[in-house]
Amino acid sequence: MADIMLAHPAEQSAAATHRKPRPRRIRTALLHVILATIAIAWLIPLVSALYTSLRTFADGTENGPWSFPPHSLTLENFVTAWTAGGFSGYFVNTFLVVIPAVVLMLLLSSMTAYVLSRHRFRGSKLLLMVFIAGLLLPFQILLIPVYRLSNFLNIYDSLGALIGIHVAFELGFCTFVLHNFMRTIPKDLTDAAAVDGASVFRIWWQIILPLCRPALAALATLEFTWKWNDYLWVITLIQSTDNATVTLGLSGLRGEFVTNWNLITAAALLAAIPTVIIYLVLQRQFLGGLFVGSNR
Amino acid sequence: MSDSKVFRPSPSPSRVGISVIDGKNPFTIDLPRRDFLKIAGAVGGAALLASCGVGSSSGGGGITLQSNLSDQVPKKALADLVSKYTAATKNQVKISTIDHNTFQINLANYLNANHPPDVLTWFAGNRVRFFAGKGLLADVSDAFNGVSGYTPVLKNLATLNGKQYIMPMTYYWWAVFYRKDTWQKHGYQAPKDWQGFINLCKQMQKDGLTPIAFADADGWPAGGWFDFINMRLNGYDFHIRLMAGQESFQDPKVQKVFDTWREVLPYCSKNATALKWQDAVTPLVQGKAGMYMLGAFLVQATPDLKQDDFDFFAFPTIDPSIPMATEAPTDGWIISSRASNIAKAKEFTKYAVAAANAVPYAEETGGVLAVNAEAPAPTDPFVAKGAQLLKDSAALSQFFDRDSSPAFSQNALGSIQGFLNNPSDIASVTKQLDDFMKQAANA
Amino acid sequence: MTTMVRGVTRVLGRKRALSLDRVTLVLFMAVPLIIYAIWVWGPALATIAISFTRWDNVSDPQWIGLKNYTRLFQDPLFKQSLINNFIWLVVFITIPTTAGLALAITLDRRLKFTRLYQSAIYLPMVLSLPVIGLMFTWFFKPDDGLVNSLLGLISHGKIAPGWLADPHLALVAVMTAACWRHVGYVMVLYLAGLKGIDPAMREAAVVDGANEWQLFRRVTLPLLKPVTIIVLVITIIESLRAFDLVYVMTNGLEGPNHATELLATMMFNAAIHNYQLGYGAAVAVILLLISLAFIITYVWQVMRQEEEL
Repeated sequence: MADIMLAHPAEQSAAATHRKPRPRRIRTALLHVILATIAIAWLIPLVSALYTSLRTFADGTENGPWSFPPHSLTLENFVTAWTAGGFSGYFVNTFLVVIPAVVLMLLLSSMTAYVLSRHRFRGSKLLLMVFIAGLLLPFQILLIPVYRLSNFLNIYDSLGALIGIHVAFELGFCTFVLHNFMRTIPKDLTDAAAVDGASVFRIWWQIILPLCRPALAALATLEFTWKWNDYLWVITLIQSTDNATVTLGLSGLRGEFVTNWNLITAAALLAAIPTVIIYLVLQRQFLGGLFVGSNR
Repeated sequence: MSDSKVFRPSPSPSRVGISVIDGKNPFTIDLPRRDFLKIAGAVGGAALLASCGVGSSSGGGGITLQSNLSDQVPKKALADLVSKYTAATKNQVKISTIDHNTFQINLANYLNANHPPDVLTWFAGNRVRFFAGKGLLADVSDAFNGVSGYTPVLKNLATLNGKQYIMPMTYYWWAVFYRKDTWQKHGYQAPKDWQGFINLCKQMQKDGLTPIAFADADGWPAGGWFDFINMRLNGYDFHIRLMAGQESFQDPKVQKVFDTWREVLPYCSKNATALKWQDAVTPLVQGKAGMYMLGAFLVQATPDLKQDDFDFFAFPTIDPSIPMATEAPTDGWIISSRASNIAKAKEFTKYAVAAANAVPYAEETGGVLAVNAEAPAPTDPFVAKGAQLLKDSAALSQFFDRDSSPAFSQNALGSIQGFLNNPSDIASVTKQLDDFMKQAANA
Repeated sequence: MTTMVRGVTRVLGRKRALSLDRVTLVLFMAVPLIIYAIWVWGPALATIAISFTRWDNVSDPQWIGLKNYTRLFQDPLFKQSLINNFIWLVVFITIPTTAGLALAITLDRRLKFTRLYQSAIYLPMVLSLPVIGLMFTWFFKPDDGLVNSLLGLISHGKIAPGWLADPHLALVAVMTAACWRHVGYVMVLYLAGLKGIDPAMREAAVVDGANEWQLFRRVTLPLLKPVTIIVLVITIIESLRAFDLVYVMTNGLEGPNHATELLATMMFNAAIHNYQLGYGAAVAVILLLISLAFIITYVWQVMRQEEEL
């Protein structure tokens, strides 16, 4: 417990300057008011999406998106989205793409970042450039060439085509972030291990990776969310609904002319559940610093 | 969810953060390594497996059908048509439905794939000629000529260099729609000509209505207005030549189109370019707007109302000497030139477009008509009136984007949005349109 | 640097370790590099080549030299896109980054509900873009949208801009949505960065009598420099590549008179929608050149710092 206190200099500072408790309490209350306002403002789009998803299409069309109180409240859209949309299959496909893709991209980029941040050799600058410059490529322009490549590799219209481009394209970003993070790890640490006879592989696996946990967790959360919501690559590399992912399934609910936005919003909220879970699970790792150190 | 384990806190949580570790033995930091390895291995295997599952599309003599009919009702209608076909012929058809917009920008990719789908939905007219000209489509002339009930107009829409490349199936009509009870309440009558139309707008405004519901965030609704005014003022042939880049938008004739359009803009919904077309249906349904110039699909956006709650009239005549033309976008089936089984694919399309099958399909879909001339007159009065409108039209246009090119229409519709926001500046819009047309032709 | 060399040499003293470590290092570098080369740089170089051709993704490409580029520099849309991208960059690099940092600092302490606040601000990132776009389109609806309803309350109905219908405001509406999203992103990165800071360093400053501002200015901010670099690079990239929300909120038309046209939307429309891959590729090459200016600066900085170590 004492440890937790130590981790919070803000509170320490109050104690140190012997401020009276009352103004401090008012300040904290004020802070909460401000933060709560911001949080609510940030949640408005989500809440309105939820509101939309709970109304029927007829209600939305006849009374406009903001009519309140609603003329209808129903879970029907969620049921329809799940059953008629064939969503369970899309969910499985998306997991089969996103999980391997995120794990592979993190493993591979941590290797690159490790080599580039710990070892200097001729051309290392250039290699770093190669990875980081790639992350700036406007990916929309790669759509057609990568489509051609996938066709050439005979993986067009398969989940492998998606995994391939996801892993490869994010190598730039992940390498960049991890390289930046690893640079801050003191060299003495790895040197000492090297002196003890640890192999390069062991240093990477047992020292570097665990130390990068917050960065890896942050990356995993972001990448999972992005790849889960990816749309442009899916539409470019997937042709049959058998191989469709959630986003393609979502867009499949759009009609040529008439779009049931209430149904789509319900489906989108369903589709967001895994990303929320990933965030909540991994949040501990990179945002849960409050508990860091409390057990040691 | 298994990858969350990768970052599971170790059994004895360790401080993470560089400074903390300083001076301590780094090897005490423990990550559940076995889990990590196991998962990494499993995941890598899954990736490999997934990538080996190469597009094994149509197996066992069936055909694959790539459909853009993503609306729930047409989707079901197609599924019913296909199961009827399968029951009759024992041939399997596997449908993949992709939403309309996505399908449209990806057609080239579908057709270029190592294993392209056999049959695809597509648009008659210029859009089919583009792909046929690139050799991506199978020549369906024999199947086409085997269909009784295809009119010369349809043949023209399907033909490039004397060969046919699409099997037309359905079309629908554009007109000015209104709610019957709103009109009854105020005693409105369908106008005969442009002046009558303007007078009606004025009357509606007096009655406190927005005369014309209009929304153009999607861009294409304005395309309908442009097409109709141009065809009513300058005729179908000029319109088609203009859309093909053979006339100039800076021609005074086109200037006049925008001048005429400007006359009704004050009666349209405000801030139309911020509204999606479905947003503008709301005031129409609520009786706050008088009418809506759109395609017959309008009635599908109002699930609580029936088709019979609506009526429509043809876009008003402007110059009586010009024969009436109507927007009637026509959809049909195309076959990939590298289809695994072209004969079977043709067989399916022939089956689908026959009046006996196309009519039930159109009825189930609602708001569309079978193009087959042998189709009996529809029983539903609303649809029958639409069929009559198309029959009375001297020419049928395919719509702004389909009669031009994707490159032109995309940019052009953006410029027309500019005109809607600043109707006084016609000169710069027409110049932009000419520039876009030139660019589209060059690229 | 020198300690490392010494350390490595000592390890290298043992021959087996040397060869095994070498193999590991080479593999660590080569495997990702090969994947990267095949999927990213190959297609990217192809794009550069395509930019000198006329190609519709169907027929064979035709070599047309610099014609796509000359057309580009005469295209008013290109100028408009450059200006819009620049505005986007300036706004993005100031507002959401500052807000994200402020939120991260505020929330990275023992405070009731802090997790709740963090989640609320991050969660919008998980919702699919078409839905976010739709919600914001509705917020900005001129007649009954949320924004105009609020403005109407304040101004008694006098202020009711057309937002997405207004060529001058369409970009503002779209950027509001984009900034709203970016704040959560920046906050998450800074929160992750703050975890890496040794509490002892801040404690020391507090003991020395630093107030909160001084603590932030002299201790926290300098320690956050690596994260700040990441945030800046990401923000620059996101501004240059900005695409999705604009595309969704304007239905691919980029607003009245192309008021919200950006380089990326221009490129997507040309290459994907309009089947003009050569022209789209030329836009991409320009975009890449602009980005390279930033990236070279970054790598050069990193390298110089490393030399100093």
